Amino acid sequence: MKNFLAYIVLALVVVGLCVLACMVGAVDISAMTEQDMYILHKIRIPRALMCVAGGACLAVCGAAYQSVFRNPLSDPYILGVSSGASLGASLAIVLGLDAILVGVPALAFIFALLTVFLIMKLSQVGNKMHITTLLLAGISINFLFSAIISIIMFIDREDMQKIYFWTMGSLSGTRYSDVGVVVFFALIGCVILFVLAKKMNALLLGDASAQSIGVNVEKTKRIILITATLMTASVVSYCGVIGFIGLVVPHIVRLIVGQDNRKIIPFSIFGGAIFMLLADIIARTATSYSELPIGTITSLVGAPFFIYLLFKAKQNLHF
Amino acid sequence: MEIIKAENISVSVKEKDIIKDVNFSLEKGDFCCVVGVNGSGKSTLLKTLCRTIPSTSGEVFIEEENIKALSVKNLAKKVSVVFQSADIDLDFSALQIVLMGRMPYQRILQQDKKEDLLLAEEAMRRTNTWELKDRSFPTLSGGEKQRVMIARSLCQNTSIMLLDEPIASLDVKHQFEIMELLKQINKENKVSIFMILHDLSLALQYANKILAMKDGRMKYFGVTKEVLTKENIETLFEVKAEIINNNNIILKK
Repeated sequence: MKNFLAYIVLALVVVGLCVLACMVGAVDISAMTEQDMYILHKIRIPRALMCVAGGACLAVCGAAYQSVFRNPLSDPYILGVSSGASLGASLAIVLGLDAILVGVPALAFIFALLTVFLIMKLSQVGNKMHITTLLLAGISINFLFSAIISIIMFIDREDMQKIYFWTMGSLSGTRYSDVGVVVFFALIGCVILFVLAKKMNALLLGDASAQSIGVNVEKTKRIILITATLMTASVVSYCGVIGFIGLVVPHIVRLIVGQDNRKIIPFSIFGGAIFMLLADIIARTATSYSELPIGTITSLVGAPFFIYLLFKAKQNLHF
Repeated sequence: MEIIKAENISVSVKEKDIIKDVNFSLEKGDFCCVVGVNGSGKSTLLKTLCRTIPSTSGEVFIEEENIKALSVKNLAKKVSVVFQSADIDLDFSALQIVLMGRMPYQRILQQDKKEDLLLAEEAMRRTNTWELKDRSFPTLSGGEKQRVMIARSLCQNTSIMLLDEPIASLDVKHQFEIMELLKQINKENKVSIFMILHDLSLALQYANKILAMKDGRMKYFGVTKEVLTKENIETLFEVKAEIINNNNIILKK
């Protein structure tokens, strides 16, 4: 009951921030002229909705990965989604596919999934995934793809700026069709992850213990990883690489509600949406001459906060 | 009735045998300790019995059902496991940990029901951990952690409990505390115990059956007094042994 009330309050906050996000921006639309309504409908509403769906996805996936890998530093990009998507998007831009409606997101999505598949194959030992190998494989692939992207940018200097902006994350030009795709993955994914929240708790005890209380460990992990990968890939394909939401939001939520994933998952959904909306509002209003990339804002706010969390955690360590 | 039966189980990794042709069975109410030097295959054997490690060949039956035919969930209703290191540094309360023992009986979205809470309370009172219920698990002492893990196992309501060196990191006082607790659970709840134990004196005092492993094979199996003899201990551990008053074993180089 207490939780239910909190969900309602958080939902109202999300709606309130959406309204705020629609009202503020480079152009004052309070006069409600025809042109203002066009801006509202065609630009600001889809963008606000993308913030909600995208933020929710990233935060909830971060929470899920942190449980599956029993590693607090896991974020939605741990399996290489961002590296793959960036490479795919860069290739799409260079090949001129950005002229086609879904050219860039489609290639980004495909490359994201291929990369995750590659990294998971690399880290597979027998039937199981080896976490350290997985992290190292992820880092190596990240460096490799970054190098390839740099070379692409170096060769094709005309598209350099486009690629660079894409990798910093941006929500400008979001259309309803884009929102539709992300909302589709967000809705199904959030339901699946919420259903598996209790099993995520068991996974935190370690594989052997989880199995001994009746959890089919490998199957559960696989479902969670596939779900979270599809969700993250859909967001990254449309919004670019937006950092820190998936890392920080679950940690903030955990500080407030504790370790139970049955609370962390739903609260992260709201937390992610709120964080992303706030970041986007700041990105659009911080400077008067142009909009900042949202990825820079999330990192600018997220990184110091994370350092603060680390600092606090350090104080609790005893020797 | 045979509570657990292992038929010719072998586990090999890259054609190297970790355990080979282990055959034994336990009756309901048995308290069996598994002894042997490090690397003799004790842990692998235990993990094979709860299917954490699949056997390469051979079959395991729990209450006459082949464990390969059971779902993970149904297996968890029959076998519970307490692992050595309760290395959970997560901020779960002791009660939350114990309640996880009810998972095999719950549907996926089901909240903990009154019945689950009652069973958890009973298990925690039984293990003398009820007053710790709201404490965060990482803040508990080693002995308390192990008692909470045993409570979780008890809450699982299984006919057999497997324990992998549950007292290895505890001091003497708490070692006895856990052994006494297991004895009570064994006697009063009729839960069969299968535990890996390094302390031969404790094994001699508490177990009614001993399974001794050497080089991946089951060297001896049977009634405690018949297995834990001076000669057998010397063969198993390659040390000199002396048994005093039928309940203490002195080991020498």
